[in-house]
Amino acid sequence: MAVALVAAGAPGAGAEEFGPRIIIEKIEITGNSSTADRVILRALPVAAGDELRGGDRRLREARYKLLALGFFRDVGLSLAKGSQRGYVILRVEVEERGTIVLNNFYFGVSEAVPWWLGAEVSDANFLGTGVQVGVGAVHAADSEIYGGQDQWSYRARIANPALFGSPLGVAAELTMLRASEPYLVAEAPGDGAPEDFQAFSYERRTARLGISYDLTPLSSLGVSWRLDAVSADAPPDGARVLAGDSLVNGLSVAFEHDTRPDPILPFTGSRLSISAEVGAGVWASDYDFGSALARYERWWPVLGQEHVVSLHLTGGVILGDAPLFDRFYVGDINRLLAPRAQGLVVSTQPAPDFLGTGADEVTYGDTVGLLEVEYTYLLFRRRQWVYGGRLYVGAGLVTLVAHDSADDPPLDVVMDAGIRLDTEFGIFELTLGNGLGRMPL
Amino acid sequence: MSLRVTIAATMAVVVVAAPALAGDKYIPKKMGFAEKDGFLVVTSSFTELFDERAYEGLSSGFEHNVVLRAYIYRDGGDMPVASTAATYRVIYDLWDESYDVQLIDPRGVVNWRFSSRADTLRAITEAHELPLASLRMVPVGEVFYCKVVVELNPVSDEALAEMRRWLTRRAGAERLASNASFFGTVVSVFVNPKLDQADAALTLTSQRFFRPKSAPVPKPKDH
Repeated sequence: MAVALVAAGAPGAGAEEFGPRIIIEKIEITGNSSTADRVILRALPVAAGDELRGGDRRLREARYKLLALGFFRDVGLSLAKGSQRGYVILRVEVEERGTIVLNNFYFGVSEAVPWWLGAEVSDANFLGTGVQVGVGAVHAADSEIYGGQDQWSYRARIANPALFGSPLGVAAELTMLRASEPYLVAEAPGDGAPEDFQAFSYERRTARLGISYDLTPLSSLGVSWRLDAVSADAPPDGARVLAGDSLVNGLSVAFEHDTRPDPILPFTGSRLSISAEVGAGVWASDYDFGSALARYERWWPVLGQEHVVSLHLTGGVILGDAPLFDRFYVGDINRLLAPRAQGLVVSTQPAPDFLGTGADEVTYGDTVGLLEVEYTYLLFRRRQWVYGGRLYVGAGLVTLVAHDSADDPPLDVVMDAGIRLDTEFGIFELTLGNGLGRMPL
Repeated sequence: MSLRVTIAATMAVVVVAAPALAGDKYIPKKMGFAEKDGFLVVTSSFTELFDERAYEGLSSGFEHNVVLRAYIYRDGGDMPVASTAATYRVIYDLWDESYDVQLIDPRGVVNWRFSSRADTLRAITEAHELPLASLRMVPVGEVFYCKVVVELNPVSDEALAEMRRWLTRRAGAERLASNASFFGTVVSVFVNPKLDQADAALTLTSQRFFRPKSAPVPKPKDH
């Protein structure tokens, strides 16, 4: 069916020539009880003394730039007459929102671990400075596995994503954890029964320092350094953790480009993320390794924005002697299993192995490949309380390969279905995978 | 196993109930259609796009845009046979106390100046003989209808992506964590302001119409 576009009026075409010529005399900010004026002034694309047209792109974008900080529920901008003809006062009225975020909530029970519970909370605008501060804690009860014990993980981080209003950001993170790592002692993986496993313990003290640079408003490049002090208590042969004290010293780079207008309920756009890390003995690392992970996702609206199809591709490889906890873990890849809770393994359940290729025999891998297709259906879109909801169903193929295994690469089916809600109180996801991965069924 | 069945059944109920919550609202609107210079043209108004707050906002000194997109469909068809667009821009000049209005549509660019806000509102919420399609696209005798989507201050996908990017960059977690789950969080609780793709939007649908063989002007026909 032919569609003839007679003409498309583009908003803002010839914008720079439209509207009266004005000079910004000063900027007045109201409504900001906790956010410092300087944080708002830095984010504005115009400043006192600027001479421009009323239709200038910078004025049109000013509201978006402030909302992009994530500190405000709403932003109102208006102009008032200045002290002489042509001069104007830019009035910025902000409505602040609470910036405390419950980023993650860890909970569940499994056959191996009676319960685990934890949360990660952050403040995106600490003391109104624009600095982000976050803490997280997880505790997992003493496991049913021989040699197992209770596990804990504590994390604190601080970040300034726009140092002095520039595209440069800095971040630091400290993590302390004690893990009780299960390993299979039975000949066959079975159904993940705790009696088929033993456990060994290790502790980690991890410090990360990173810088980031926003290449464009939608893409960024980051570099970070990690120092990980590991202390392992009698690990078994082949555990990929050195006995006693050891160090992981790694340098990583990461790139991200995200064009999704709505990252919560995406209907169009794409996201590309690539990261790589190197650890080497030449800079005092006891583990020589290199790793790379890339993920590409794209969303296509079908028949309007109600029906959306998306493609998700992930590929990763680890070379050398990466420590156990840096290898690809099956629970982080397969939605039907429990993911690690802030670095802690909380289940011994193997992959379903729907195709009978031995996927249930791999817990950690050095190569991962994942291809998923997802269909989502827009249930509703509203302006208040519950802004929108999408049903989704997804399926795909995954392979997780351990380089020291002589078997053929296993292939398994991954699938999930559920509902995602974008609400005034946050993001909620109710899925089959979440339910199955957090209960011993 | 019963728990698995319960979860599956719950999800099934949600899936089945979903269509009841879905659907856009189309507002029926009587529109005028005519033939002019080889084009089918439409005349309509959409003042209801502006509520009191938006109307007051016209005097803020900031530019406001009204973007109109019109589509013609065959009666019973899902795909448009033709479409057109128009943009209205308005800025209040604080010192001259007047409203500069610019209309960009298939006929070109037209500029007006108004001293009254009410006259300005009328000018930017009316499509007068807007060319919809070449008459060749609208054969005589077939029945058509028109959908008009109007938006106040629409936001580009890129700007919206920038505004909501903080949602995926909380506390720098994603930049630093190398061993995070691939599939994100189960729940994330925070004050989440609504950011729409436009300050306001309307979708209007016209009465059915057709081009008669003899009469030069199509005769409107009610639903």
